[in-house]
This record gives sequence, C-alpha cells and structure tokens, in this order.
Amino acid sequence: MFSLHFEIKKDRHLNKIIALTLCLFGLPSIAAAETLAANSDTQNHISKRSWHHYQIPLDRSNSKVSIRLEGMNADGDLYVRLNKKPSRWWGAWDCRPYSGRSKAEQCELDNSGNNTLHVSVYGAKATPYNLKITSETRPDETVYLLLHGLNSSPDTWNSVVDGIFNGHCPTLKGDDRDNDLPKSRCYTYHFSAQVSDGAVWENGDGSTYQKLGEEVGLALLSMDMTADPKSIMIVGHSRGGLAARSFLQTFNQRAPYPVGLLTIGTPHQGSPFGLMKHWLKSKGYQKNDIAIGALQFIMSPSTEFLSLVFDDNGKPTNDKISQAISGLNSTVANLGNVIDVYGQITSDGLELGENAAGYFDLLNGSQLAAILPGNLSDMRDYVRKNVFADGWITGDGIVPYNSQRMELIPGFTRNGAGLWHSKLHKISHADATQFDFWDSNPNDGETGQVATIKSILSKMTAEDGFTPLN
Amino acid sequence: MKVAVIAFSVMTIAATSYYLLSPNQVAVTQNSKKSSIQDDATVITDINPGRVDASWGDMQSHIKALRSKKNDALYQLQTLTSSELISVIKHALASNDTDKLNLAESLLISLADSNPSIAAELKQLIKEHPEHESHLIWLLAEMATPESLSTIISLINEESLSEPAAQSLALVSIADIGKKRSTQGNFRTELTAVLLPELQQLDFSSDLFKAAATGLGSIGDTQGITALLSTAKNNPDNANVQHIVERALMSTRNLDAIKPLAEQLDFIGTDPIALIAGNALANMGKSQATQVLLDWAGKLEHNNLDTQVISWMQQIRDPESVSLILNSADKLAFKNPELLSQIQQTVEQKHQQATPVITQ
Repeated sequence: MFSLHFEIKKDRHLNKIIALTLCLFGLPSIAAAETLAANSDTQNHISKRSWHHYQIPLDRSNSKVSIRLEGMNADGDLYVRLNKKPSRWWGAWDCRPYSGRSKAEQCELDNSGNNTLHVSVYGAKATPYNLKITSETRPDETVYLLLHGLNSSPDTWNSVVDGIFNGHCPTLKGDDRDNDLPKSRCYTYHFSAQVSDGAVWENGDGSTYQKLGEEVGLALLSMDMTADPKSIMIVGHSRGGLAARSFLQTFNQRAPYPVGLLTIGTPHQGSPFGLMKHWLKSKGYQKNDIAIGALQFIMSPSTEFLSLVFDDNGKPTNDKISQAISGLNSTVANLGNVIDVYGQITSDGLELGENAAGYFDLLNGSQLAAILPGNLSDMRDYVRKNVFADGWITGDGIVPYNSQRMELIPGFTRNGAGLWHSKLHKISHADATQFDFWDSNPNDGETGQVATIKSILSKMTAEDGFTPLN
Repeated sequence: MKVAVIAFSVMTIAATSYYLLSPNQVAVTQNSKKSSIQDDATVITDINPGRVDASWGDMQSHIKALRSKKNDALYQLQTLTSSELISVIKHALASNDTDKLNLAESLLISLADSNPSIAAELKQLIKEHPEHESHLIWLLAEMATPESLSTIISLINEESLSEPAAQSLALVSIADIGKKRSTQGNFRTELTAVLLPELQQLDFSSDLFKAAATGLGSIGDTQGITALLSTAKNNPDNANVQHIVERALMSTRNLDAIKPLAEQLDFIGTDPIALIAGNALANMGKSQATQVLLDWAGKLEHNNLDTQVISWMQQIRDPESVSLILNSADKLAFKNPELLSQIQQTVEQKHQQATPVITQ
C-alpha cells in the first residue's frame, strides 16, 4: 500500500506530462466504447478535442468492412484499428485517412475471422457526423481437400483439378509454413514418407491410419488458417478415404463448420488384395525382391493393413479383418458426430485382380513371375479362396464392391446426414479419379470419372452450409 | 507386353509401366530365406488409431501442437545449406528418422529451383548409398527441375543404378514428369529441353526413348509436341515409333498442343501422322481441341472420312465438349450436314449412357 501511494505521488509530475501529451496528440480518453453492428448508421455530434469510441464485433462472415465518416460541417478525423483501440500516436491505427478539411473520410478493412473492429472519431473541431459501417458478407466458400491413396500422389487428381477446379489446387504437405500457403478453394495433400528398417515408403505407404489421420488434421489446420473455409469437403480416393475417416472419427462433437466426405473406391472393410503382402511376406519376400520399383508398394505396411478375409458365410468378420481396419471401423459411429453429408463412388463388375483395361491380372501367378522370383502360382488361390460371396467377389479389381460402401460398415450411422451414391461399372480402381481410361477402348459407354465426381459433389454441396458446385 | 501393369490407386505409374516394362527387361533378384506359408491372415500385426472421443477444440490443440513441433524442427533446418540438408537426409535414412527426413526433403525440394547443384549432390549420394537409390530417385522426380530430370537420365545412361527396381522407377519418373505441375498448376515446360535429345536416340526400342516420348507428351508444349510429330514423320515405316508417339500424345492435356496437332489434320489421307494427331485431339478432353476437330470435320465434303471422324467423336468425354456438340449445332457450319447429324447422334447416345446415376 505504501509503495503504491508512493508511486502515485512520485508520478504526479509525470501525470502532468501525460496530460500535456494527451492535449497535443489527442490520446483517446478511457470512456467506454459504444458497440455498433457490422451494418449500421450512427448520427452523433462531437465536441472540439474530444473522442467518441465505437467497437464493432466481426465474425468470419464479414469479409470486407467499410467505415465512412460523413455529414460533417467541420474537421473530424476517423481512426480505425483491429482488436485495439486506436489513438493519434503514430502507428496506433490501421487506417487514418486524415483528409484535413474533407467533409468525409473512409476506411476499408479486410477481415478473415472473429475480430473486434475499433472505430474512433476525433473532433479537431466541433462537428456533427454520420458514421456508416457497412460489411460485405463473405460468399459461402466450401474448400476442398483431395486425399490420394496407396502408391499414389497428388498427381492422381490432375484430371479432377483440371476438370473441376480450373487447374489449380495447391499441394499441402503437413509442414506448411503459414506464409507459403496460397489461398485456394481446393488443396491436394501429399502424405509423408515413412522410414522403417532402412526401407523408405513414400506417399504414406508406411503409415498407420492414426498417422495418416493426423496428417489430414494438419492439412485441415493449414486450410483453416489460409483459406478460412465456411465449410469443408474432403474427397478421398481409396486409402485417402480411410485417412479422412481416421481423423474425423476422433470427434465426439460437430466441427465448427459443415463437413462433407466423399470416398471413391475406398476399402472401408479392407480388401483381399492386402493378403498378397501377407502371402509374399510369409514366403520370405522383401521389398527389394520386387524388381519393378513402381510395384514395390505391394510389400508396404499400408497394403498389409488392408487385409481382409471372409467367414463361412461370406462376410468379413472382425477377427479376419486386419487389426488396422477393424480398429478404424470400431469408431465409425463417430462419423455421425461430424459429417453433414456423405458421398461415395463405387465400381463393380471387375473380379479381384482384374484391371478394367484387361492388360494385367493382378493375381495371375505366371504374369507375376515377370516381377517376382519363385513359384507364385498358388498366391492367387491363397488370396481368393475366401472371396466367394456376391458383392465381395467383384468390385473395381482391387476393392470389393461391398467394401466400398460406407453404409455396410458395422456401426456406421449417418445421424440424419444424406448419403449420395454413384455406382460405376467396370471402372478399375486406378481409373476412378481419371478423366478417361488410359486404354483407348472405353467400356460400356462410360465417360470420364471426373464428370461423375463433379455430379456427386454438386449433389452434396446442394446441402445447407456448402457452396453449390456448378 | 501386356504384363506389367498393376494399378493400385495410381494410373500414373500403371499407365506408364505399360510402355516401359516388359518381362524380359526385368531382372529378377532372389531371396534365399523363404519361410513356410502362414495361412492365417489374422497374424497380421499393425496398429489402430483407437477411440479418442475428442472435442474439436482438443483435437485442434493436438494438431496445433503437432504443427508447432514440425515448425520448430523446420525452423531449425531452414537455415541449413542444401549440402547440409542432404547430410541430414543421409543421416535420417540411416537412423530411420522419418520426421527429419520429410522436413529436410521438403526444404530441399523448395530450394531445388534456385540451386541447380542439388541434383548433382544427390547423384553423388546415390552412388555412395545405392541402398537408397529408389528413394533418392523419387526425391529427384519430386523436384522436377531440369537438373533433377537430367540427373535421372544420366543415371540411366551411365548405368549407375544397381537395382532393377530403381532403374524401372527412374524410367517411370521420366515418363510421368509431365504430371508434376508447378505450384500454380502450370505444365513444367522448362523440362522439355531436357527430354528432346532423348528423342534423337538411334535405338527407338529403348526404354529411355519411350519414357522421354511419354514425358514430352504429358508436358505437351509446342516444342515437345512438334518434336514428337517430327519423330513419327521421319520414321514412317517404324511401327514401334508410330505406336510410342501415338500413346505419348494421348497423354497430352496441355492446350498449347492443340495448334501443332491441328496443323497435321490437313495431311489426312496422305500422312499417317494426321490420324495420330486427330486421335490426340479427341483424347485431350478439352473443348478447344474438340472445336478444332469440328471445324476440320465441317470442311469435309465427302464421306470417305466419316468413319474416322465418328471414331474420334466416340472418344469425346468432357462435358464441355459434349455440350459444344449437342447444344451449339446452329453455330457449327458443316458442308456435309449428314456428318454433323451422325456426330451428334454418336455423342448424344454416348452421353446418355454415361450420365452418372446418383442416388441417395
């Protein structure tokens, strides 16, 4: 107490200096600020050498704010600052037109979040004034995140980016530095490499679903900070859909913005294809035994995580699905907490291992002999012996049709959200995001898959909270 | 020849493998340690994310902490020179330090445009550590600079790669290089000059020739497309060259390719290259290319080319082109109205078949 009293007494001289400074620079008084709406028109009168203070709460929907001081018959000055009260000290404002004898002054500010706009009027002379605040409402902007799959990269979205997003979707990597990120309505993400026992698995092929999910979270955070989305649409091809789910299923409550999820050929309940890795591993094969670099992913952890076999009734059971998939699916009900609209693009009509173009049968031992040493003829039987039930034997050549369907995941609940579905015929797994077939003989009159992706996204974004995709 | 395509998620690799690989070109390595088959798929060991039940705020805090950690590590690395970053990569590979590897490589890629010596340093690292050659080729391909592409080519030409898998990966990287767009989404036309010399090879059956041709097709700038067309023209009797050029041009999506391709249409009937060019335009998936084909078809007076025109129109897939043909009939001047009618019927029929069926 003594100390405080001493300080006050000691500073009396200083207070005189401050008072003089206030007089010279017009430091705002500590009068309470009046709160105005983002769109308002206030009439008032200010005395000479006095201040009026206002504050305007802004949210992310107020994209551009215009502040106009008009209706004056003498000199009044406008000061504007975001999140702090302005003053006449140099630099203590974001906008000060200071137009002397002008009868109107105006400031415009861009806004990207929840902020408080402070507006102060200083009466160089006594004058009436009108203070007009107008705010442009940000158009609803749905921002897209495109997630690639196993043995893939953001390049797989080139056709989609060209066909839907005018050729421009910057790639995020999870270590994005704030200043480097361009603002965009869509982004692709490139999953990280993993080093394991000296082997490097690029493109997320060595990652667990938890790790992939964290990367999706990092991508969404970068998007949130850069693009300031009103809503999010996540599009996952193949394992990309599982990565999205891994992140989204961690939540027990809604996101701060609407979220949509479109999966394309995603193996929601795994794929017998994953057994290839298991068989090869059991035979002692290693990554470098596969002489074609582009096919070494068969030995990746990510392939193994997909493993799926069936029970006697022809249905996948938890004890036969890889622990990774069953673990992921154990929290699938949480999707209902987060997702506002679902979409899925599936393909049926191809047998496991069959490529639409017919160039290669994945499980044909004699063909694989060109890639792998040893006798592989029994691998096909090993992988396919449990695959016999309708809906589980055919699909896109890699993922059984039923595994591509979210609604068949045990415990899946939409919680009132819509689920849009487009079923393709004989479109191979790898072609699902492509504009056309790399084969020159299109199947069954099918056109590019991009048209399908665009159509289903149009349906999904017609829901409340999303920007309709035209 | 139809053997070497396994496609899982990526057409990029699958499509290119078709061009590049054949069984007799694949060296086979043997692993002497073969264990017995374990017939129980449930022995798979992996991890699962477990149940979290986080609030959005909790998870955002968690992700922000992850990001902050990454950024801290990144800030530490970003002051390093490219040589120092390569040293970090080397040690990260040896110590299985995934986080550091990804960050150092990300920084190195960002420096690649302004520091041409990086590619040469990576080449040296490949020679010192052949056990990582596949991954380092992947890294060079991600950079997609003239120097990194040139380095990949030199590794092939010098037979410096020890593993057949790395060799095949290098070829695929060259063929797919056109799919690596710039940050702004532009085609990397600066890579064309690196690939052009490979078209001059005497051995048109070499893998490198095929890879370079495919790469040029996917970059698709005027210079590269013209070179591809010239190569096909100069080798009219070489079916292999014709086939490779045709397949390479089918991967072209760059609008700059339209002009040199369109110029070839004048030679239809006298030069096989015109058919290749028309095919490329039909496959491009761009309404501008379709417009060129329609303008050309509109000038035809005789019906001897109708079959060819219809064949091209059957390949039209993009909605804008479909709309152009079906909805702009009054703007299309055809000397042979019957041909226009056939085109529209073809496209309409195909369009109806192809309209996505979406249910809820």
